[in-house]
Amino acid sequence: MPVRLRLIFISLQNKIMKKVYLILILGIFYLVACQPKQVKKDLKWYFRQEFKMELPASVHTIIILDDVGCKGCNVSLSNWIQKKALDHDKIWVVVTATGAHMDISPYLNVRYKNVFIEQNTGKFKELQLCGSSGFMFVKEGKVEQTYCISAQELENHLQLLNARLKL
Amino acid sequence: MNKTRKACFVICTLSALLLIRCSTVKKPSYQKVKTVSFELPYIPSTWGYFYEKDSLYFYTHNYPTYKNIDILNQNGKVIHSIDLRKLITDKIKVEIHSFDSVYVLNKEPAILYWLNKNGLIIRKILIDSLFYHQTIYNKGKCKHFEVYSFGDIIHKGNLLTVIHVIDTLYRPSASQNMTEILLYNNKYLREKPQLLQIKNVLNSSARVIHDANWINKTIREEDEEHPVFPSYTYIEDKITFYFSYDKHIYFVNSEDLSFERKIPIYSDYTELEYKKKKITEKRQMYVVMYKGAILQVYNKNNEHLVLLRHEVPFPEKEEMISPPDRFETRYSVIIYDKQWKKQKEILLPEKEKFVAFLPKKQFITQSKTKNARQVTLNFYQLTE
Repeated sequence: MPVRLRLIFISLQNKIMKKVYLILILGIFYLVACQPKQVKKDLKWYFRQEFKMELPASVHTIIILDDVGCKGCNVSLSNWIQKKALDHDKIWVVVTATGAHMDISPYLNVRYKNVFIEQNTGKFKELQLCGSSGFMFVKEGKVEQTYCISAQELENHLQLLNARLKL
Repeated sequence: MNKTRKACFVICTLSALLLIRCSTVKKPSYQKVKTVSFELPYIPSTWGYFYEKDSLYFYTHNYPTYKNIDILNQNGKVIHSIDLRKLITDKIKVEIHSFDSVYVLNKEPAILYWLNKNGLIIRKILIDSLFYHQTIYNKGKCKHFEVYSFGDIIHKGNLLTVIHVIDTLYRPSASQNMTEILLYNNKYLREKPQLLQIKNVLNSSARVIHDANWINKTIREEDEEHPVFPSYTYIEDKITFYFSYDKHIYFVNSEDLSFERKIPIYSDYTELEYKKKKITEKRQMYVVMYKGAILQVYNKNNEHLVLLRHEVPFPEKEEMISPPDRFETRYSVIIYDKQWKKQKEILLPEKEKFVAFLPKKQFITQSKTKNARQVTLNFYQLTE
């Protein structure tokens, strides 16, 4: 290869390599800069995303009513809510039940200020708190204690909820 | 220069590997025919279908909350809505064969309604009253019958055959608290399963109850605390049973429901046999829902199709254990010839819930939507 041609080739190669480096650096920068911000998926996030609501600091208990799992437990929890917790200021109820395994018409037919019906099925599960019905003790929007309803603990759970009514 | 050559060599090799990889990716053994999307006022719980004058219709419901069954045409338009408020008091099972053959089972008390598309009762069959005449009912004062399973109905002329798997269940006294009742029911109460066959339901006295001790032998010994009830279907004149716990399909004499033979099913993708492991009580309660299982058996044009639901891993967090998301479950279908010789196993599309097989080797799946009232059904054709 003539010297002149070789020099041109080397200079071209250098130029290409420089561009490659530049593209690599820009690529890494782009990747780092465009990493999606890790959104903290907590109860506040959930109420904002799903219901466009701010969770007030005064709310101390959140109940999740689902219709999967222990049917008797879900019905008992639903009966408790209907008897004692409708329109309660400090206890909020989220109905994640589809209505296919339990009658949720009492929550659909009348609008209660503390009852929220989940539309985007499965959204609550993203919080990784309970796979089925349960309740959370909350302080200023943060979960302090989670109880997932189970047949073994049902009576105790309802007693715990009774105690929350007077807070 | 050397470096450039090396780089070129590496790039060429990688490209060649990529090309080889792409060319060996298996083509799926099905093709999408069409997709239908529509919206319902509720989240549908189950899907069924039937043909009327060669046209396909679907039916679904969300009974506990919306007390009706909807019949939809192929485009998802509700064409008949059957109001069940006057008929049904408890959980139900629905089967529709045609506009004039709508079968609705109220499980407790066990009543079978035969209706038409307008909800008009053609026949009301009090299944409980059939049971109460049986001497076995009086053996234990705390026991009652519950209908567990409601399989294919054969209805030809005046002959209507229904089979129920029934059980003697403990009915707790009013003094017991809820926890005791639930625990007891969840754990122990099934004993002495029986199969009921009603032949010619137009004459409601014509019924036969068969002991099903072969169910005890095959299933109960494996895990007495969590028995699982079989699904069943008619294939030609035979009845086949299959269980979530078991890798076998059982063939039963359709006259006296006695056990004839069983064949094992082996999948390339999932384990079907129940293997007892030391797991937490909560996991044990859900193990049948998470393990691989025979879901349905079909007989189509001299071939048998066995639909399998694949194993789903348990969530790591104990609190998150609940029935698995079926849109995240994989399904496959094994095709057998008439003699039950395995031909091939086809993995069905991922992220789609299986709905039904149709004649001519078509099948339907449902795609997950953000709002579950929005329904998207996909129609596929199995290809050779």
